[in-house]
Amino acid sequence: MTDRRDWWPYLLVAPAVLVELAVHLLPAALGIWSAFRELSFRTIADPAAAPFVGWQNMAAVASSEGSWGGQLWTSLGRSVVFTLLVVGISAVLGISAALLFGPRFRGRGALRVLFLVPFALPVYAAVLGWRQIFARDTGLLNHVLVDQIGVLEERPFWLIGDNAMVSLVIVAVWRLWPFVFLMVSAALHGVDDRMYEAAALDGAGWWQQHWQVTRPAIGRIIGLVLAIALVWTFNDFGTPHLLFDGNPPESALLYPNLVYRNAFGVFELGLAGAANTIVIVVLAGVAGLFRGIRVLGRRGGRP
Amino acid sequence: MMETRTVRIVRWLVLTLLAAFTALPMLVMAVTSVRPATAVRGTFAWWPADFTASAYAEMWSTIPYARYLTNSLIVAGCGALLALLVAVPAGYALARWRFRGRNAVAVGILATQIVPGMTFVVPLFLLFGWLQAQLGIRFVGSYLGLILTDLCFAVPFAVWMLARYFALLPVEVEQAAQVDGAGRWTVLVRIAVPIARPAIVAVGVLAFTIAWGEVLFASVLSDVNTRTLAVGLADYAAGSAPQWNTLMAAAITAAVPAVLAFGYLQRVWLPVSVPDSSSGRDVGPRSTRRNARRPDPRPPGPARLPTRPTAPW
Repeated sequence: MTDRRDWWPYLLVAPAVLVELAVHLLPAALGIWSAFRELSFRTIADPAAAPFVGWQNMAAVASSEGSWGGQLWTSLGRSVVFTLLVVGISAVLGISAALLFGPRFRGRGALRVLFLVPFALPVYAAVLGWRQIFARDTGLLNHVLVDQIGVLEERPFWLIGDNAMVSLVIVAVWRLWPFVFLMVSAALHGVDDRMYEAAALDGAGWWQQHWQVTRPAIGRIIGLVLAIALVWTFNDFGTPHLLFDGNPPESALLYPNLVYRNAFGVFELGLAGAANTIVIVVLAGVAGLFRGIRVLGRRGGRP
Repeated sequence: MMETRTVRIVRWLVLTLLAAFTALPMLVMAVTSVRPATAVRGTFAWWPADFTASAYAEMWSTIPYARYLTNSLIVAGCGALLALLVAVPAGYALARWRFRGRNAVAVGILATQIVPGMTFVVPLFLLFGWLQAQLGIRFVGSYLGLILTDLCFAVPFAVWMLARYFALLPVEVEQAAQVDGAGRWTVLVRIAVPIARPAIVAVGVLAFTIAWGEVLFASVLSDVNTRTLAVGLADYAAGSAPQWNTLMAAAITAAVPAVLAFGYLQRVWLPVSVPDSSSGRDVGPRSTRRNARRPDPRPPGPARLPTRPTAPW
């Protein structure tokens, strides 16, 4: 047994804990503090002296009459829809590709490398590439739709107006699905081949084998992978920021980009702090709710 | 596995479509980068009519790519090294000892990964500004600020992955060294770290690639002189009259190290980062192919000196 008073593990952990306190805990506390202060371009020079304003900031970002005009909620709603769409589509693509990838076939190795590239590419490289597809006058998409196939007369805008969200979802799926593919493929390695042989002997077809063997074997991992994908997508700032030149159109303005615009465009740091605090509370509430449902479900399953 | 004709056709169809979807932007980038600037301003072309590699030469001065590259190398390199410096001992401690607060550290570190980065960058900006006024050290716009914020995402996952890896390593070698009279520091530096070197290098390379592609912190905390590639290329694209062939050449060049690093990495980090299927529903022994690639997680025989708790995750 290890002595509980042994100081050695504490010494080893200390630097990491100190760093964590400095870059995560302290800023988190400071963020909540700033939510109650009048912190704008007027007071930013000396934030310590910023006056206390109580719940004013919260009201300003949360109510539709406030200075953010209810944009917090619309952008949050948009972020949720965006996240569900992107993760949903990526899950379907990634899982089907991983299942179909199973046995040997010609070009398997090359395809695997190709599928990994979007995951490996820095976001700015990939998104700048996509802009050459969506650009109205010089892009690939309009070239194909208007010049080559001719299904459209007018060149539509893909990066402003209502189409912007479609473009954003496509790019985000392109970046995310290889991650699902990669993780599910790796998990499939862990399933014993003999399980499939046994199922095949019992007369199970391709689909049944996966439903009866693969699903129970890797269901938990898929759940975990999708949870990670949800968090990443919801928090994704870079993809919209780069796709829309740092200025997303209203139809594709997600929560992180809204806060960024107000925090660093016009230095409404107190309001940004309030918005962040509200979102954390909402996220914690949602997480707690899910946990509660799961715990209840588990209890219900037992006598 | 038995395969029907339908499965083969579906596979061919689905994988071909996915391959086209995946390759499309890469093709566009490659083609755009070798077209002349005047042609790129016109309509799109699937294939360059006039091939020119001049964009790859011009980007160094016009963007200016050389400075952004240097900045990215400095920030990502220092960030990764600093992250390893604190994460290696922490990961080792979490894997080898049960101690008071261990679960709090483990859960706390994981929890930070769920919170939106925006929650940290706004207060960090305030904090850096305030510290700058108090101490007279530049944080906003300096390498220092960028490197420190790299730790924000590099440290948690580095600790997480290294703890998992150390927990997979057999403890017997370390115990033998301890029996032979090696101190605990010696055991860590001379035994554990060398054994775990592939994983440590992999985590460092991964930290480097993440910092290489980081956009949010770099956008907020860099200035004209310290802009990383992420901010520099985005600014160039948003500026007046960007040359897209030059931009694509720069993007491809910036992507190459990340892709190479990732190719090297995936052999090392996949076994560590994939959640263990054996802790899910029991579906029989795992395939030997997988077991061959990772160290045996549970060597036989009683653990003696430091007890080896299971990884906290």
